[in-house]
Amino acid sequence: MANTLGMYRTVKRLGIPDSNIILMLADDVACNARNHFPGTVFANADRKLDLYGDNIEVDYRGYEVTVENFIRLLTGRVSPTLPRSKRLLTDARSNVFVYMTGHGGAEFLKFQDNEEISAFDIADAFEQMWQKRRYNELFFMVDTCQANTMYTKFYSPNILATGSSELKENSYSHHNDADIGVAVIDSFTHYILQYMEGQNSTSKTTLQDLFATYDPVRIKSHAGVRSDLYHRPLDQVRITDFLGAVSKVDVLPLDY
Amino acid sequence: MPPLPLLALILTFLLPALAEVGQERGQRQRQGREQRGEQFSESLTLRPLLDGKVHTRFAFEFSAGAESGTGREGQLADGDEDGDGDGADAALHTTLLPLSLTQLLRTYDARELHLSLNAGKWDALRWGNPSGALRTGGEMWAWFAGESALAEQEQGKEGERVNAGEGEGSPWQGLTNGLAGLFCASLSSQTVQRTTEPLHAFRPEGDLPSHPGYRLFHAAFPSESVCTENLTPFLKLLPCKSRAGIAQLLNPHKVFSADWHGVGVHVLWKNDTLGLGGRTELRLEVNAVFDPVRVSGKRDWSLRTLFDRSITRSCPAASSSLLKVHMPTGSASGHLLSPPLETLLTDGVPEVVYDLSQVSEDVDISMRWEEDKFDHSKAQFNPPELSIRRSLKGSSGPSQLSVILSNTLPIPRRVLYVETLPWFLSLYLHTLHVQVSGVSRDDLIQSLSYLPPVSPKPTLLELTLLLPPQSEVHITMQVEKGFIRYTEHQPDASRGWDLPAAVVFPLPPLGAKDSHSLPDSAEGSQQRIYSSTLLVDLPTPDFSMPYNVIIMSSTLVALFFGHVFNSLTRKFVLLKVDAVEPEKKAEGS
Repeated sequence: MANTLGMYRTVKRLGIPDSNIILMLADDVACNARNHFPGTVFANADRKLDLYGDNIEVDYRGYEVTVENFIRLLTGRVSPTLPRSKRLLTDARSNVFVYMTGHGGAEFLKFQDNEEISAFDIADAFEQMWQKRRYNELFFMVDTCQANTMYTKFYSPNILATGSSELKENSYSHHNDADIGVAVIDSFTHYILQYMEGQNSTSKTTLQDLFATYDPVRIKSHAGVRSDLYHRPLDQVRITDFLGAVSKVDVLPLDY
Repeated sequence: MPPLPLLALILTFLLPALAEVGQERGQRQRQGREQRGEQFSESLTLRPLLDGKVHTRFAFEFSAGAESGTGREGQLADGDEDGDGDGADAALHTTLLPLSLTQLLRTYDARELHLSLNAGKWDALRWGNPSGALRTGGEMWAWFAGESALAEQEQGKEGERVNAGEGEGSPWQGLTNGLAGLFCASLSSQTVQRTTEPLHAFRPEGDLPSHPGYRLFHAAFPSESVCTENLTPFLKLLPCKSRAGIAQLLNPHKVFSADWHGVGVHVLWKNDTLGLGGRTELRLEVNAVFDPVRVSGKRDWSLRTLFDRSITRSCPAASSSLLKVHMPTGSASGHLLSPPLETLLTDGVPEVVYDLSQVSEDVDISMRWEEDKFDHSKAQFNPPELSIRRSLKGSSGPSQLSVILSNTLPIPRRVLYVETLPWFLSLYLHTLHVQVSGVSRDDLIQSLSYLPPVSPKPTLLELTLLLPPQSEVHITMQVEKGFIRYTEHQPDASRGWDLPAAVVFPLPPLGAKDSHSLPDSAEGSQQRIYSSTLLVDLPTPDFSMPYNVIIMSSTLVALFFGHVFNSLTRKFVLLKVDAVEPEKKAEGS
């Protein structure tokens, strides 16, 4: 939860509006009666940063978070009455960032503790998106055990992927909160978020800079990057191409 | 009710600039801004409860008049229906009403809509039974205009669908989806499993315009949660958002840590007194029950301690902005007010009303009790006039659903009891028995309507009962838990299924009418009493079983196939191996 919410907070901070973010949370941890701090999910055990905040919008929650809904969301095969907030309204000029986290294994990721999405499913969904011209470039990030296996099956162009750990390697959580009794955030995401906290929407740092911060000792696993499907050199791709939105303002002449 | 031990009650009022409000309130409201006949008013009611808790109710009320001549009677905004004419843009334009909501209502032709998302358990004994939905979880019902329902049926016939009122693509499904998207709720995932069409319950609270064939759909979502993500879009619908007026107090961290909390949306249609045209009324509500005793051990509260915020400015869009404090009953003789503000008697409830339409500095209102510590043991509660308790007995095999309705009044009460059960629970109606203190009284049932479950649609049972004075009526019936398909289980199957709360509607007493006739109209239906939700355990399969079976059977099939294939295609013959042959070969090469 804190992983996803941390990413949500980061992309929102970098200028992407709620209408362009689709947040799927399978659990209601913030307002669950067992949460000692109602309405809050903290990024760290020091409880300085509340990720849930005052104005969060969760688009898919609870039992709606299923593999079927996720694939439908990506490929755009949804019911005609589905509201705009639950659709991925992208076209061939959109850059899409997909972040997934949860329990997983070699070439699968669990949803809701009772079903899995496989690396093949995602690869095919992305191919369908490409054929339907639903993205320009796609950045896929996954934080789970053996995460790097999740992107091995991709075959569509313009996809850049990164994962937290290699095959037969676990991803570990960063630390526990003894008061709540659970692990709060995973290492890989923690260090990415830590790096992203130093960025703002006008930062010129590139994805190469971000990938250079991957440290197997700190993360406790070997994070990987797959860029063979991607056509641009990574040191020329700004982080804000995917994780931020910069609105361009042009000054018009007065008599326009 | 015995007088409270320490009756001195001090209301501190930190802003002298606020004007006292009296009878001229209505006038001012009328003189307030009226843009395209739209009005917005807000009020916050604080109600100290007998057990030291404080019930706060935020109500944001919009009303928009439909201009006569254009548009259909009862349509939300005026203008042409097709949406392609000249008036379309003008008709869709709203000044104060949230467009995202009115668009939904227009598209699906919903004339009355109620949606509530609540969490917690309402304690009727200690907190009373105020009007308004108090169901745990989510609940939604809507009245749709006849034409779209009829058109839908016609379409349905073409598409080989007989009852198309709630299927995919229907107005009900569309509205549920739309509202789920608007309020970040997960209502749409289980609409079909939850939807019923009650015949007698949930009558319109407003006046439906004269129109044939309205259809009612109702759905309860007992496991729906409510959290910050529901409040965020809610606040965005308000003209001043959460930046001004009483909405400034809505701090999600405080509201969602309250013992009971929820949001509600209610849309009604009200006829004008003259009978020409009418108004659409939209009411957005936030309810919360706070517990100051938990924090400080005392009943003292202030806006700052409850919400951790204060009102710093008034919302200019509001024609009236009021803060009402109900004075605790029983302490009317002894409490002190400082600075003195007149206690008004509205509907028999003494209350103090502050006008927040002109706010120049921080407003904080607090109530202090002259006591060191709140003594729970001295609090005494009057049992509510009407209450319901419900339980499900028995673990395996046939279980028993047992409902206790109690009437504490010295007069008989007529009530409508509505039970909705998921399709996997089948009621045995022949086992329905009504008992009053051990004596069978099946004659108390005045009418019964029952819709058996057809998977995946739920059961609906509506009973009209006459409760004898000062009695407890026990209703029991046998229920059988069915097996449901492997794929029909929820992701957290072993947690069990939440059963939606049963509802009791007090009905007006029967006069000269035939005692078997059903309540036709809404007179007493405003008040509803909900039971608690129940959790039912269903037998859950071993979810890895199919994989084991697949693997096992594939192995067997493979073994069998291999043998058969071998025996069919291969011929086993004896080969006489000549021992000399290799030597010959060797010689030859």
